[in-house]
Amino acid sequence: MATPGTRVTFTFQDSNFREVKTDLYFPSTVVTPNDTAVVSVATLLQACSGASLTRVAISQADSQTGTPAAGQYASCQDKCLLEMNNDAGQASNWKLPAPIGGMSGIFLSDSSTLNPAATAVAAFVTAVISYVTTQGGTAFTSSAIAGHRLMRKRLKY
Amino acid sequence: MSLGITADPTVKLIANFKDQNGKVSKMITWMLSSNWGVAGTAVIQVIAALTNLSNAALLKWEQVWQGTVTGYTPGTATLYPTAADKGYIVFRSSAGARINFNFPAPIDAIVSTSDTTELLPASTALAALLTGIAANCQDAAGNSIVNAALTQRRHSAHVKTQVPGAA
Repeated sequence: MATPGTRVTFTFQDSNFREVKTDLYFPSTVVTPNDTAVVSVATLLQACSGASLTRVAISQADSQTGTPAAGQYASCQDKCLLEMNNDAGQASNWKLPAPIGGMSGIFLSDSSTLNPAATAVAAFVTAVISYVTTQGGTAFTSSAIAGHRLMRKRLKY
Repeated sequence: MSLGITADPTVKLIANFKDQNGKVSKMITWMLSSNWGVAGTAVIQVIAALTNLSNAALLKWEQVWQGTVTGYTPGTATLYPTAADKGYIVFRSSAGARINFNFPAPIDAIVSTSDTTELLPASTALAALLTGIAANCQDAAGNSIVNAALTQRRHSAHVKTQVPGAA
């Protein structure tokens, strides 16, 4: 269920280079940062402020209902580092919380090294190649993926 | 003055996981702006792939698309060109909700000279802003904005000014 509106965040910078953000909601028909309505309000805001309006960001959220699975280590502190090389040859990584472990999981038998052949991992690689880029827009073509478990904090039982 | 906004080529997808203890963890990926849409194919495919990797519940996700503002060069510093000096506006929505909004460093022209804690809703720039927000914006639930009930100026903090290079 998408939220009814688009949140627009205006980022100002003052003469001390301190940043301040302020939000307004626009109709969900606003789907680009340079929408006419956003530019209009941005211009009016700038006319009232001595600080410099530097960035504008739009955001929309969606959600689903459900409960966390009762996994082997169903804690967000348990993470898996996923690494892939982008088309510029640089390593990109993501930290996945509460990775699925055990026999049906995404790790090899050492419970620490990512198993690239696991079905869920292969599906993730496919999604990355199809849709994900770096922040700068560089795509991922290689299907090679590596990863290992990160346990940042021991769990207490 | 008319600003422009140059949209970034990519959008950020923030996946919010929640574990059994209620702890929330975010995972960020990026995609081309052509994939904008939280219910679009690209987002749903990536979310589905992430869901199958984790024991935590992926209950919420958000897309953020940023743009850089162009066409404005900060002029001479006004009275208090600091982000800690703010103009506060309280709007009312058609559903009666309060919408608190603030912006930094209100210029002299919209501040009362007799009481510097008061903004001037009738001043040209502020009147245009109030009209523009009411015409283009809404509350978080999607209700229209009907009026501005309060305009005020507040200092949210004392400001420390540091001269670059000074000891």
